[in-house]
Amino acid sequence: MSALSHFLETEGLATTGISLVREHTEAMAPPRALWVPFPLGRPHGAAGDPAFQHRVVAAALALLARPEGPVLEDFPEPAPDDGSGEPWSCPVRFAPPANEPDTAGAARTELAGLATWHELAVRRRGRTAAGTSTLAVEQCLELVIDACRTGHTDDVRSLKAAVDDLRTHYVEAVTARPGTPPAGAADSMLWNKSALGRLLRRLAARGAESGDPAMRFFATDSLVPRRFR
Amino acid sequence: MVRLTDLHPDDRAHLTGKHLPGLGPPAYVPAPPLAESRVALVTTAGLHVRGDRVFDMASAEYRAIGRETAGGDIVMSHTSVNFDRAGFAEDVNVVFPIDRFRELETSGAIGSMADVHYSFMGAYLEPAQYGPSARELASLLRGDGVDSVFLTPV
Repeated sequence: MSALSHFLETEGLATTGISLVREHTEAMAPPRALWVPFPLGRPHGAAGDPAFQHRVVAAALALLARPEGPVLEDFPEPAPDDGSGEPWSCPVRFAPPANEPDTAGAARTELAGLATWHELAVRRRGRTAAGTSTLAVEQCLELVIDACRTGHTDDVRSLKAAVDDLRTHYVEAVTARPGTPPAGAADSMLWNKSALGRLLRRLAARGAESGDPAMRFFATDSLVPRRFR
Repeated sequence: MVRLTDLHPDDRAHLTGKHLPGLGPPAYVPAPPLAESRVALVTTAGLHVRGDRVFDMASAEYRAIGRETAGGDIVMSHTSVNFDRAGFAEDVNVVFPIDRFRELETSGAIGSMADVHYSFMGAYLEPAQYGPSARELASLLRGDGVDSVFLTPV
């Protein structure tokens, strides 16, 4: 982000923006930046809290009035809770893996079981953030199962889009009830509890041995989050 | 973000290991008063309109997002899996505050918002590799009458 700020400013456009990693912004010294104490993935702090988001935006926009820079300021407020007053709890109960000789079959059953929660999530939000692939989630899962079986795909980009949609589908299902979970909590359910998480880890292991550099890159760098490897 | 010291050790090592070279002489452009500014949103969150091309694993390309695009039509194909996506699933604006900027325009806090906003996918490239597409984007923004840019990461 600091690089874009630099390049746009050299082209005559005034820039301001959000910094999530203060140490990086200090090193790159963009013209104007507001460091915020929020988790990666939530640069405006609080989902569903327009007033809070406006305070973040206003603080960053205010830096445009500074006569000289570089300017790096800290946003003074911590991230609020989601304001619902209810602690987040996952509505989905994932089956333990003890009796799971067939992870693919378990993932199919699991996905079918998420349907109710996902429908509720979409109804509550009026949208789904899935849709980077053009496939239904059941088709996304079959693509993953096939790649996991063969260790190969003809189209890594489509496989990644399918994984993105599955991940989004799971995140939406486990957050179907009002209230935004703490950052990383929904991912923790996927990677530590679900059959899909176990399947994707298997895909990562198979893909890491692929002769296709794109598949190896996807499998090792863009599939399983570092903290869940 | 929480401080680097609060992160998982592998995430901390990744972030502290990034190569962050200087990009040349610093530039600093005075901005017009906010109430007279035309502002564009630019993010590195790997967003695009549903149905648009997903981002490649490493890409300095950008995607256009029209000012009237509904939040429900914006999806994310970022390469990194190492950040929370539950916030984005709940509310696009926690990543890309397009509704907040519509409100700022309506209230007169900003002069206007651009007709088109843009997303890059910030991952795996050296900062300098964004130079050519950023300069190309600057031309588009100037053509839209934009004088100020609000940048947001993910």
